[in-house]
Amino acid sequence: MESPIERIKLSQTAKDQLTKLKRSTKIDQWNILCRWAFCRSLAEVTAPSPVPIPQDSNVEMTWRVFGGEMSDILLLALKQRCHNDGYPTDKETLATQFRLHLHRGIGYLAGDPNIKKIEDLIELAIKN
Amino acid sequence: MIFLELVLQNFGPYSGKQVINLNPKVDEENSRPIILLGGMNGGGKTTLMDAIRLALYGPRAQCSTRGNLSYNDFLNQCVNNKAESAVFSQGETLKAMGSPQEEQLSKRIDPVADTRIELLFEHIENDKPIKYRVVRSWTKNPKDGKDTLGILGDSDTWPDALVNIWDEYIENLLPLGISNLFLFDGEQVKELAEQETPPPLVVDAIRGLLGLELADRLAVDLDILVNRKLKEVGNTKDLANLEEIETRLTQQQEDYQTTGEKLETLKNQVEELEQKQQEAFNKFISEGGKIAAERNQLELQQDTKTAEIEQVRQLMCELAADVLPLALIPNLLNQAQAQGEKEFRHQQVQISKDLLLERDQRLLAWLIQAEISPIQVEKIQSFLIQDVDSLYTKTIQIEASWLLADDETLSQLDNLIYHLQNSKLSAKEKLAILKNKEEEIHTLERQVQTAAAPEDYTKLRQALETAQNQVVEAKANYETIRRRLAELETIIAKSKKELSDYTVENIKHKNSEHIITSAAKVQNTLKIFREKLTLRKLNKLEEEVKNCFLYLLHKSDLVHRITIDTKTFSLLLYDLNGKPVPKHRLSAGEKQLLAIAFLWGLAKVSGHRLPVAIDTPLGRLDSSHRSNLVERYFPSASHQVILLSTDTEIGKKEVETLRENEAIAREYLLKYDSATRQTTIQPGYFW
Repeated sequence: MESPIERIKLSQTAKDQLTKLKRSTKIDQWNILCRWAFCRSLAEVTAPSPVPIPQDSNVEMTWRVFGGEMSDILLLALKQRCHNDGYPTDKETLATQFRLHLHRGIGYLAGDPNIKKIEDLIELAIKN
Repeated sequence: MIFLELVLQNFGPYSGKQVINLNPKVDEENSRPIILLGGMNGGGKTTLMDAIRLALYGPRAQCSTRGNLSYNDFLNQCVNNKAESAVFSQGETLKAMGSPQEEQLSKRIDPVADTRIELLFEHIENDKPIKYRVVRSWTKNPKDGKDTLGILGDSDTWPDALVNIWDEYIENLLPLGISNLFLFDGEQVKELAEQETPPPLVVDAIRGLLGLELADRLAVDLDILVNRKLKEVGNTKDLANLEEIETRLTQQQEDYQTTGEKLETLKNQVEELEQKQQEAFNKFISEGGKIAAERNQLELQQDTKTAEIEQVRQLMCELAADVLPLALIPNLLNQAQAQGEKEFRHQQVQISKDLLLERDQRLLAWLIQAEISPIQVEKIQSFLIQDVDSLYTKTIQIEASWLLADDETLSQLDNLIYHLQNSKLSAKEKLAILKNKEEEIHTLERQVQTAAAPEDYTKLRQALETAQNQVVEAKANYETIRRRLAELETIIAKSKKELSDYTVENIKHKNSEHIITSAAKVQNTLKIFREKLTLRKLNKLEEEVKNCFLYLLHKSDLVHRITIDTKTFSLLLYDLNGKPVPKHRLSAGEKQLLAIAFLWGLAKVSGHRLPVAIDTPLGRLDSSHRSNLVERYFPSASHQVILLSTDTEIGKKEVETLRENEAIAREYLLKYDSATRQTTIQPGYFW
């Protein structure tokens, strides 16, 4: 499937938060943590608030790097979410929503006081 | 002791060789004490006395004319002034003896003739009578200023040894000190009689005679010895250190011993402590080691577990890198799946609709050909149309597709959902494992905490350390003491060496000290001895003198008692009433008699059997005293009494009295020729 998003550039805040996560989970790859953050945000029922997100950090990756083998599935999930939230699934909307979700998810994970180790992250996945 | 013969040769006024026989023996059995020599004043009586003295005492002789002359000068003076003429006479003698003429000539050329004195005497030695001839000869202006002494023994041999010790020998026979009291002249007696206290010379003689001189001499010798030893002690004044060294050495040896004991104790202590340390070490090894081993094992396990956990976490990380995040959004995935299928179905329907319609047409055309009633065909046709419609309508009802997932993606989604379940299971498993492991680690940690028993361990460690420290300290102490001991050893060796260096001197020192202290004691004893001896001798002397005095005196009631002062030897007379009789109340004659009595008493008390020679014996005595003296004193004064008298002293009457009493052995007359100033000795007296 053709991706609506070419490159992803994180905000400095997100980068800082991810750095903290890297330390606690010992996952040292930005993209993996970003996947978790993205899914974490998608799992939230409410839609992310449309806030402006700066791209002021030096962390940057392509969509393929971000998604890896599951990049198509993640795209489907994003489309489904946009659909569920009543947004159109045009390229623009998808890109916007993706950015919102990604940064909200990073915030959630970094701000979660329970996440101190990798197992705490895994725990999130198998809760339901 | 008896003088047998006096030979004079060129001595004083005696020229040539003159022999005087002094032997009191008149024949084999009888001997008479008196040898009477008569001579006028200046006739050579005193010279005879001098000759005897000179023969016996040589340089020590106290001769009448010597005065302050040196011995050498005195000898010169004694050489006969007509020695040359004496040579002639001697030469004649030699000629008579058959000597060659040449010798005579040589003698004649030599103006200085040999001067010679010979005294032959006999005394008892070892219960045998021994004769010695003392020969002294010299010439005028002798080269060495000395005479030549020779002693001829019995068989005319020269006992050389006796020559060398002659002074000592004669001192035993007739001490010089008392010789004055045996060989005295009237002048001395007069002095003795007139003086309140006897002159020092006489005092010395008296001391010697009484045997007091010996004690005095011993005292003086002791003083000398003490002084010499004191000097020695003074010279080795560093010997004072000796005692100090000794005390130091003693102190050091004590120190050494105590230090040695201390060392021994310390050694034991060290051994004990080392044992303790060993025990502590063993204990530490056995117990602490066990703990350490357990701890190690537990820690190893812990490490393994931690590693395992890390591994699990690693796996988790891998899981996290995989599909697992999608587990967060199962709803979305399911919805997307459903939507995807729906859209796929719709697509399929769209694709298959034309095919169905074609097939329906073909079926209808076949049905018509197959002669089936048109009604039935119409019914089938309407059913087909309806069926297609319904089919189509159903799909139409679906809203426009938005997911737009392709086949591949959908099938991937299917796989993924299935795979996700596995992943979740795996994750759960891993979590469980992790939990277990963490639990185990906790247990291990607790075990380590408990198993370590750190307090015990610390205690053991401390015990060991304490033991070790104690051992180290004890060893240090031991070493210190050992060094101290070695030092002491060196010091002691040094002190000992010092001591041994001093030992010889020490012995000397001690000897000297001993002598000094003993000398003091001896001095004391000697003093007492002297006093007692003096008292005893003087008591005897007093008695003897009194008896002699009364015997000689015709006034027998004049004196009852005579005392002699222990120091000055002055005589004090007491009458019958015990009152002192002052000496000046005695007449001159009485005084002289007293002096003679004193001498007589002395001779008796001394116990010496010695010849007596009296020169001018009867100075100023009246006839009564004179006869007393002649009758009573001379015959019994000694076994040999040599009287040197003038014709007034022992006159005709006295000589006859003595002759009658058979007291005279020999008589000689000294005949002085004033023209030649030579004296010759002839037998016979004035009458």
